Amino acid sequence: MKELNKFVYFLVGLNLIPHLFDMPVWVTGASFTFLAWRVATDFTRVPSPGKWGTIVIAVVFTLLIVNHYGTFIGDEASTATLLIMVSLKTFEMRGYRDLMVLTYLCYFLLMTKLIVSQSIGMTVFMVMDILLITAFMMMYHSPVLKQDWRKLLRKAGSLTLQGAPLILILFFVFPRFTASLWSKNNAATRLSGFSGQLNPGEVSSLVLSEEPAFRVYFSDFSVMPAKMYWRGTVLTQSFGLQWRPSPVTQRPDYFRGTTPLHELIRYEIFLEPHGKKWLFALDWPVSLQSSDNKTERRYVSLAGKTYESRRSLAQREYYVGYSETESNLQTWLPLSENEKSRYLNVEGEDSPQALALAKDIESQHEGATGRVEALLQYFVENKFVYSLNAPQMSTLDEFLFEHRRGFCEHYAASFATLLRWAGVPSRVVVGYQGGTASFLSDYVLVRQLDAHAWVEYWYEPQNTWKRVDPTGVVAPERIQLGAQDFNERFLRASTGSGPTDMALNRWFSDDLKQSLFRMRMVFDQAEAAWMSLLLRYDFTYQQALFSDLGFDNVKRWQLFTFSGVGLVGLLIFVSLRLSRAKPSRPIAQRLYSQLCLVLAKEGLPRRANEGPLSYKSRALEAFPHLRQPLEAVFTEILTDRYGPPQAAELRPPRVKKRISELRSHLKASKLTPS
Amino acid sequence: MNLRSLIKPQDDKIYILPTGHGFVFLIGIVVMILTAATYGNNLIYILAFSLFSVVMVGMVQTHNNLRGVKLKVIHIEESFADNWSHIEVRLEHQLKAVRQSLVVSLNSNEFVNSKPSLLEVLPLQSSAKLDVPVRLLRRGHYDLPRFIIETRFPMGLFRAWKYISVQQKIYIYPSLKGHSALPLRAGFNEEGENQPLSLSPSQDMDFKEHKLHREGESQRHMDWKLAAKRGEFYTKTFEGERNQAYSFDFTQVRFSSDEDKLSQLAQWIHQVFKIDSGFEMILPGKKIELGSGIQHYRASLRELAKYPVKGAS
Repeated sequence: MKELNKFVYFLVGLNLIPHLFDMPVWVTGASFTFLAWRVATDFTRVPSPGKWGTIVIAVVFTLLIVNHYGTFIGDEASTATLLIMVSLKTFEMRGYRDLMVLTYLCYFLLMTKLIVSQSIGMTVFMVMDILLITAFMMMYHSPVLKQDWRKLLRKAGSLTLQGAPLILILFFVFPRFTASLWSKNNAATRLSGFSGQLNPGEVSSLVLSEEPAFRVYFSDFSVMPAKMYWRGTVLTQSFGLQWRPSPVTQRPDYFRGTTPLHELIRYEIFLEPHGKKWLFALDWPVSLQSSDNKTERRYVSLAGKTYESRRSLAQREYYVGYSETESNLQTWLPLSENEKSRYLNVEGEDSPQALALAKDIESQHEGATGRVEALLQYFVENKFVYSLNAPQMSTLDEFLFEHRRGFCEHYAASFATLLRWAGVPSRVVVGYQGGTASFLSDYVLVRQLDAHAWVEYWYEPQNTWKRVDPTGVVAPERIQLGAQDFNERFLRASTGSGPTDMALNRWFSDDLKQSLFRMRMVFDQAEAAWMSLLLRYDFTYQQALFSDLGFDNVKRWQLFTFSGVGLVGLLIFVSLRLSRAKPSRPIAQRLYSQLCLVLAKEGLPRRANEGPLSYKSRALEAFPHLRQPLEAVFTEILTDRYGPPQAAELRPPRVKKRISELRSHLKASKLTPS
Repeated sequence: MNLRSLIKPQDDKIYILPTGHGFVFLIGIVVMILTAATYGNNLIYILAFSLFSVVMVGMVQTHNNLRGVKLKVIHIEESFADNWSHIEVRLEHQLKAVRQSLVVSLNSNEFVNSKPSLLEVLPLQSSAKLDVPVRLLRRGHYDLPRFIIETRFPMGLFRAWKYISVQQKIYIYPSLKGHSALPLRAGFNEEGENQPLSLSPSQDMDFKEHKLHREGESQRHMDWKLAAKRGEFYTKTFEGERNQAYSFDFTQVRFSSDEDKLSQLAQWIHQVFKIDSGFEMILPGKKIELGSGIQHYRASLRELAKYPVKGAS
């Protein structure tokens, strides 16, 4: 058994690697150290910690984990515990049992990683891992396969492949449960950043979350995801970098549009439960309707064309939205003087430099559009950097003149405040931007990392609110690519304080960049398709799938029964197939009877009690002119059947050829008159 | 067909159950499915289903690994009680598949079978020999119990097994116990004519050494003079005890229990066989004529093996 240990070390090490990316360094570091220590005890004279040493280490690390996470049972805490315990478990590998236990603990190492990441890369890793673990488990049970790793991998591969139909059936049929059944994924942790205020720093915690916010199904998919602004809440009170919604319940500040509904973009939204009242809608929304036709009773439309549910959303909400891509000129109510002054008010912000900048722009440019352009130009020219790692700051001056680093909230908040100081009524809209489109279907997934903030300003001549997204100026790719791609491409590499995060880009020539970009896009598409399948496939989808197949309104217990019956059916089918397979006669025997048949046709049947040797001599006597081919065929068959095992191997095709040659010879000799 | 015959394990049927590891594996899959449901994580569902399918395919393969495998006993190497006897079996199958990691043992509590015999590989449509060592604590003439062929290939998550009954019997000779010193040789001359047993060593034998006398030994060779001198009993042994014929008489062995007597006889026979001498043996109601060689040796030991136990009819 001992020679198998190294395979287990390899497996454990392999399954620790993916955790390097998201577990604290001290956890992964310790795990790898224990593993290396264990390997060292096997191959050098380094002493092992022994039973008590291991226990002490385990206790110490349990305390460290509780200290670090404040709990022992949370997602990350339990993953950390698993990592430490599995790597410590390698110290007590005594026999077959420990070998097996450690091998399938590797599956759990893998599973805890899958909770965090379901990318294509992780999927490929998973498939490889299943193959390897299966191969190793086969190796423990077969001394033959242990010696031939190619055969081993082939065997393990065929074993895994043979299960593919079963995996497919189970995947589609096994009933899914909504997350709210269990206490995980509850609303409090999920949308914590989306508090309906704007405090730079909050969205950053959301950006890192791949949790779905909502899914959108379009009836007619004509909008590019990059142009999708999902309106959540409008913030009207400026405190410099901070923005808050108006404390008074706002009355709607717009008319319902005159465009008939069928000319608008129609979409269905499945909103994940977030425990609050926000409803998200594509900019610019015209109407939102609940699925149960009780819109008036359940939803309320607010100022700034936003919608809320009257009750907190504790379960997945489904509604239909109608939107138009351009703000309809006729829909907004004109601003009263009172309102205008409210939209120009900035409270408690002390940033003299920023104020001077705004006044400067106000004096140099006429009209809202000119001032907005000038301010955008300012952001372009002054080397602002889009970064998730913005330092803590409390005033506009710190952001605009000191750090110049920040994410969409910083830009939206500062831009809108500067506009107010420059005499342009403005407000901030928070919501989501973009989303992951599936190229297989008209469906877009919007995740927490797509959270965004942008600005609207009042354009007096047309009596309308216009959207301006300062983030688009600072980091256009953030808007074009969507949050996830953008983060992966530009931000991940640059956590330090490099001059600019975009500098990476200049390393590549344009052509190369283009083709790389295209390759990335193809991969992104595949990834998006995979992710959309993984994220989209839930009970609602199962019901839709089964209703397509003609089973309407299928229940979970029916799915469960169906998968059970399917499984049993499959097993019965396989066992019937197997039991029907008859043992086949050895190939040499079959060839011999073929030969006997040929000779019998020519008038020389084998006698019932006759052995092959006497039959052969009789054949030679009867057909003396065919001595040579007869000898060859008999010899080859007889050597395989009765000769020593090492004798020349039987080549059935060659023997068959010889028999058919013999047959034609025999026929020819019969035709010639004797 | 009554219930009992349904329950009674039948020959050549393949039985299969998960091993302990198989159960743990299945529990692990349940945990994974619960985790997947908790997080609504489809990739973990896929992982769990993949493992489940590996288990299912593994189960079929384990079962399949025994299909068509037949067992025949080809040779039985008999031995003494408490020693290892070797049963040589041949495993064969006619199917176009390779069989791996087959373990053969005997389905009996009486037959100690501490070393299960592993056949690493049985190539397609072929046969292979395998040695099954067994040990019994008591002499006798036993029916061979059913053989069990089992396998855990490929993953160790399931154990499949089948029973195979054979009609053979096995002799287990009495255990080798008693004194190594041979009793006085019987009075046979070269021609094999029967002569009365002599009470003293014949002239052509030379004195070799003294040995401490042990219970059960004949007192004929006791050296009384030495006994008087040293206060202990000694037996004289003689050179030239080779190529002689011996006579072993059950009634002459001085042990109280029959089993001990049989063991002593077995011991003597074994020794005589090793030095390639002839012997005759007298059992109550049965006489084995003088002879030598392996056949004679085996026949005599078999007589001892099936000597009826006292009290039993």
